[in-house]
Amino acid sequence: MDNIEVEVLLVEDNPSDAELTIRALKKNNLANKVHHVKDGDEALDFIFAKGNYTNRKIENAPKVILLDLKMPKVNGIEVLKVLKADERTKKIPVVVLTSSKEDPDIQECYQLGVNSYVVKPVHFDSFLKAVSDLGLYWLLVNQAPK
Amino acid sequence: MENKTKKQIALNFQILFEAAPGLFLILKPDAPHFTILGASNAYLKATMTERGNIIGHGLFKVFPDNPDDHTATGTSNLRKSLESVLKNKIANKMAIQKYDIQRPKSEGGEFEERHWSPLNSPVLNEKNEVEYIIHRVEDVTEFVLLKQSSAREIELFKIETDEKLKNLNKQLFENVKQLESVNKELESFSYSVSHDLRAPLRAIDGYARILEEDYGKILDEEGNRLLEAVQYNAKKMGNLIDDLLSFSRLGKKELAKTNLNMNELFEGALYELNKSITHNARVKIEKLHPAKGDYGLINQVVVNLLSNAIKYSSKVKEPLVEISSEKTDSELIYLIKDNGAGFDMRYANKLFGVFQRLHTMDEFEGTGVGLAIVKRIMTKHGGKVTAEGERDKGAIFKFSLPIK
Repeated sequence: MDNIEVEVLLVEDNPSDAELTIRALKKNNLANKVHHVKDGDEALDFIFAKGNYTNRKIENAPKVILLDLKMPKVNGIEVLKVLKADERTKKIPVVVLTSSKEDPDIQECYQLGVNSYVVKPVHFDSFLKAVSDLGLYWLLVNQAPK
Repeated sequence: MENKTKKQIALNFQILFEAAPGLFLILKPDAPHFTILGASNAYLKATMTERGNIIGHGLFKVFPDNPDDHTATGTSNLRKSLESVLKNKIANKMAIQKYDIQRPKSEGGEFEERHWSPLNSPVLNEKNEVEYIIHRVEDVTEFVLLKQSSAREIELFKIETDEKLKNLNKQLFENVKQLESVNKELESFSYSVSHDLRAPLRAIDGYARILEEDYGKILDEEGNRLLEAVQYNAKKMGNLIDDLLSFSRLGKKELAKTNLNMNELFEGALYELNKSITHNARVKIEKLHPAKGDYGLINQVVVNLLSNAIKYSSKVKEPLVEISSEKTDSELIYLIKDNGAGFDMRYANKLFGVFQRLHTMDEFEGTGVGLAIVKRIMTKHGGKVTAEGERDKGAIFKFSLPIK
């Protein structure tokens, strides 16, 4: 794990949404370096190289984190709070990818410093397009820090 | 003979005076005493006195103020009136007085509430001096008490009514608040239901797509047909949820009214429909009255009614849809007429309900939400929508907007 460069960290508890997201990325050849974690707890372990991820290095940050909000144990907002409050991780681009169109969620995420907020489109076609668009943008168009 | 007659007459006057059906006192003008010289029987009865106990006594000795009523003004007012009679030698009518009367000592000696309407008039002698004062009163106690009690009753009634009104208002306010919160809950419920139903549906649709893409070639014809049925139904459910979602969103939407060129609206809707569906209907649009309303919502009404007219006339030989408008004093009416399948008027009341359909899926596709949306939009505008039809003879839908 420690040697593989992870470009996209997908934090998603719904296995179907995760699989469809990965498939959409794969279609654009963006899936090679995707790592999927199933909740916020595991996401924090991965990013801070704790728990099962002690072999990793914090410095090997992903190019982008795709973060779901509604998750068991540690939810997306809590993950975002920790990441953006820590000097070592605050520069990692975080894209919230969620079903929630609730205004308070959107407000809070931006307040916490999220880099982008995307509501999962309800139609599969649009979903496919949205995921590949944002994959292309964050991995190819956007210039990452460092 | 003459003397006898005079004497007889004088005697008769005494009896007559005492028996007179009125409350009379004869007073001596000897202020400040005003000694009582005579009283009618009715006066004695009304004041619970006996002639022997009052004749020869000063008026105010016999009838003092009620010592328990500290606001009593009966004696002072009466004294003033009598003095004015002495001074001016003309009758003085007093306003209604509260002048309580003491029961005889044998009956306890308490004061009873009494209200009087008194008139004091002078009797002058040849020298134009006041010889006597006739004090005449009417007992108006019952009348005054009745008036007071009805005033009190009215006051009580008012207080009671006020209280009731306040309670009703409070209840109304609470009901409105409750209704508002129920509405809000219902909206957020239907929104989240629609939204949460979407996630698994997206997965069904997505996996079916993957199956088709990755394994379509391996599956035989029947396998592909079944897969198509899955996708068709997923899509249909998606449409249902979409319609339901837009129906529920209507509740929240605030109206933004502007002037509307209805010809542009209908022609725009037709242009869009021509792009999305193929049909061979001839659509005739007359010159239409301009209207005022929310552009997006009225456009939705136009699209829904026009696409319905095209859809339900699609199976006749020469489908014809005619759009026209009428203007009355109070409203603008728009008519969408087609020569299509029509409907049975017996079921007209079902047309505008959510998920209500008068045709089977095989005849005409649809979710049964379109007309419910139309109705809701018209209600929001203070207008209405009605339909007339006959089976296989076409239908006319009319929507009207109030002119304000």
